[in-house]
Amino acid sequence: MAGQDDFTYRVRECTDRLAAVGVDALGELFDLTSHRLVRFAAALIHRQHDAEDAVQTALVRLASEPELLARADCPWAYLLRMVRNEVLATVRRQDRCRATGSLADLVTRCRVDEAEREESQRAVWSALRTLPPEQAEVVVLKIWEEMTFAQIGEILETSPHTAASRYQYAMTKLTRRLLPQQREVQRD
Amino acid sequence: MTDFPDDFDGCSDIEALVRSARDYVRPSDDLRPRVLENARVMRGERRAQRWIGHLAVCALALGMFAAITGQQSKAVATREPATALRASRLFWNPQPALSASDASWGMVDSFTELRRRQAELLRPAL
Repeated sequence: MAGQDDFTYRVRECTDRLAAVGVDALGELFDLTSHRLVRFAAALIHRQHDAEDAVQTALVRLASEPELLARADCPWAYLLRMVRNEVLATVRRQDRCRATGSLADLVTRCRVDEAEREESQRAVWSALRTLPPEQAEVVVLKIWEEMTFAQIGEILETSPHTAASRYQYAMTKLTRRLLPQQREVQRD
Repeated sequence: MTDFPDDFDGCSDIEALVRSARDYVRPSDDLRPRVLENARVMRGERRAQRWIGHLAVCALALGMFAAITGQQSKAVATREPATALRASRLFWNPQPALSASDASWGMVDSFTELRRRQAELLRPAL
């Protein structure tokens, strides 16, 4: 959680700099947040290309209107919400948010000696993509972004109870899909 | 409000598994230059739009100033001949009242005539 606080603080610093300097400070914000933003969007939209487009649109908009983030209480949460809105707009436009189970679109980086680990990571992503987007986003924010349900509720503009309930449903589904596989790996 | 747990029992294995996959997906290599390039293009467009906006405001202000100045000068030009005519009628009398032989009575006559002309001119205004 301390790491998350530190990250949030660094995002705040970057957005302040962006408001003061302009586009020249965008690279720093990109380096800090792009990985997290892309994986969040990719978990929702099921096509990395569209996910990156959503991230790009949000960041470019931010560069031209940096006061949007500078005014926000929590710039990181605001940035996530911007990307989510872009993703939802793309989904509405293209109706592409269909679980395919394929991970061919993903850009991944895995070392040769991590082949076994890659297998389990692929399994996680495959399972994640079978979830409805509203459940997948809660899982991403809860586990990868280490947010509380109250924070998640704010980003998703829903109550913490709804976020918690979605998370429970999602974890039940993920357990059903991933546990047999994990046991198999442990047995080997 | 906080009667929901932030940690669910029995999910820790799966949560750990999911957590281990968080660095699996990476942004593609061309995303950074694409974002920065688009942001710069957008900045250029915004600056151009702002410049054009300022130019339009300046042109509008200049146009309004010119229109107001033109109207004022026209009003002054139309008012000036009337005033001049009235003054010339008052002071340039074609029939000086110098018929009397006595110069002092001539003065009185011309003053009376001037007052009469003044009264004639001012009457319509009343």
